[in-house]
Amino acid sequence: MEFRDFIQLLVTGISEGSIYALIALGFTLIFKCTNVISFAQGEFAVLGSLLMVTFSEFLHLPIVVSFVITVVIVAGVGALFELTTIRPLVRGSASILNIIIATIGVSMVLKTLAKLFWGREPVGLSSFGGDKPIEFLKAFVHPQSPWILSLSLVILTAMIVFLDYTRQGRALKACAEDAFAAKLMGISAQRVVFYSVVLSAALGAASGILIAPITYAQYDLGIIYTIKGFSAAVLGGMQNPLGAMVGGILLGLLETFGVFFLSSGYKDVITLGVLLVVLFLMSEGIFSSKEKR
Amino acid sequence: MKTVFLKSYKTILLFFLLFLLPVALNKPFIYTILNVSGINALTVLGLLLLVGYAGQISFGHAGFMALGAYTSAIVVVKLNMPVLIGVLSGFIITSIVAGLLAIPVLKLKGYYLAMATLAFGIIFSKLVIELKELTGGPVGIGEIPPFSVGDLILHGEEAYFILIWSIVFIVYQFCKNIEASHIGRMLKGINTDEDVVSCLGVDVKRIKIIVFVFSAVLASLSGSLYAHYMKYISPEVFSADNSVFLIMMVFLGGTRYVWGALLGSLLLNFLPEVLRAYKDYSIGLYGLALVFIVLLMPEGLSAFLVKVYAIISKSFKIQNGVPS
Repeated sequence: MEFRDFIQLLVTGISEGSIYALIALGFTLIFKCTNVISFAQGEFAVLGSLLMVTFSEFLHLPIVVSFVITVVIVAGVGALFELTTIRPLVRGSASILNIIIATIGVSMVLKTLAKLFWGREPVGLSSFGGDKPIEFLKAFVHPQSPWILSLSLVILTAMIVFLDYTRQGRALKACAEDAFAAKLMGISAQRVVFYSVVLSAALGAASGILIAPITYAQYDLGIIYTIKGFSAAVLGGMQNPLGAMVGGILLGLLETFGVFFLSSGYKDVITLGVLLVVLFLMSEGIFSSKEKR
Repeated sequence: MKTVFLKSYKTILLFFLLFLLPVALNKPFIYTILNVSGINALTVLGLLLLVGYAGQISFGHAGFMALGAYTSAIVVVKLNMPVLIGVLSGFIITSIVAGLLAIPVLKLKGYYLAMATLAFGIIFSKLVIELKELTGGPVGIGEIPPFSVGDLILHGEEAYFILIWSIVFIVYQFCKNIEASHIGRMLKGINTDEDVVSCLGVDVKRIKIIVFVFSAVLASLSGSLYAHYMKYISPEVFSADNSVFLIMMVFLGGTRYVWGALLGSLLLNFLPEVLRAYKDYSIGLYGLALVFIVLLMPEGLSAFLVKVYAIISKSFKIQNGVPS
């Protein structure tokens, strides 16, 4: 492997990894408050990428405007998802099996809607700063990569600031720490769950928008996003935003370097293999936690 | 003998009605739909024990169907072996693979188990596409000979209908017996509280592995039957989506009664025909149905129907002046 290839893989790996990290962050946000893992998580990324294509490619709105509209719409869908599915499930203290089945049901509904509105064919989105590959240390990297890196860093920082310095954020953290104690302190668990689901939908949308110029947008990618985001979350230990970030980037790097040495057909096999190894051997992720699998 | 017969008269009646179904409906493709339902029902019955009773979810069973179907097809087409040898080697390979997988996988619980089995399902379907020399890649394997035992070769939809549903009948009766036995109680116990059951002296790990392998072998059988019935297999038939579909059959039909598995597989194979005009939204409609089932009748359609039947028969008795 030449140094040039190495740089190229490194940049690709880290940028794809940041996408997984954002989805993973969505998983951890909901999981810590509710013990719910939503199998519809990846669908929000798909919705984000498809809506972005509509606004920016078909309606020719400026990128920033399309980005904001898309995230807001998907957050709205997330709110609807919370009200119609998560809330009744949490209230009825449904079994894990039933939560899995119900959220899979929702993912099927969202997938069908995406297929109805955008069709089966993948649609492309041009990179935010033009489609010319960027030369970096003699290597050519995808023009979207720097955008992904910088924007996901911004989003992660914003998330950390939100969780540490705002009232809602701290309520969310308290709820994640000990839901019962938080309730005693007068924090409305229901409201916190609502926030966290809406937020994770918005994070999903952002990740879908950012990755769309590289992978195209297609209605049936949801399950892959779900399982990769989950893998990243598990790798990071399902505990904090930083863990999700590190887990995501690690996964992205493993994937891109794995594809370089094997073949591109095995891309998903590598990620899923990593998930299985982590689940079997280091069931607590790379950052230890007390969570029992 | 008499008691045995009396005990299973409902089962016999159920299957008698099922065998009447193609005659009663008399529509084109009725046999095809019923045969595919029966093939699915075999896997769903196994999943009912694993998921419904023992509470161990698996999104990887389409992978075991693929293992059965491809082993059977490769052994029969490429090695020119008899069909039964193909089916048997499907059993052997599937039980080895499932057994090896079960040891680490069944240590996981809940979401982690679901994701791990989903991962296996996807890995299986990717491998089927990538290992082109063996599986024919995305094209699949064609010209698979029909099911045969010695010189007896199966021809026509009706013959397959009788074969498939007879096997379903045997497996159904077997599952009912398991449900009524101490094994069935162990499985239900594992679902409710694993620790309590193991304190009572049950080797939880062993039972879970046995049930996992048993359901995988059933999936392999249904995969082999599919291969010899359709005479052509390709990767998309055994995709991860299909695993989700199988789990849907379990939950839609309901996990309270064994016949829920039959109801689920018949329903989800007939619905696409009924909803042909709404083909594009059908998946979404199923998804909606799943959410409703989980929220409103978590025990599935079969338990719901039994409840409705109980209410109706009760009110009927009161009308006739015989309050129960």
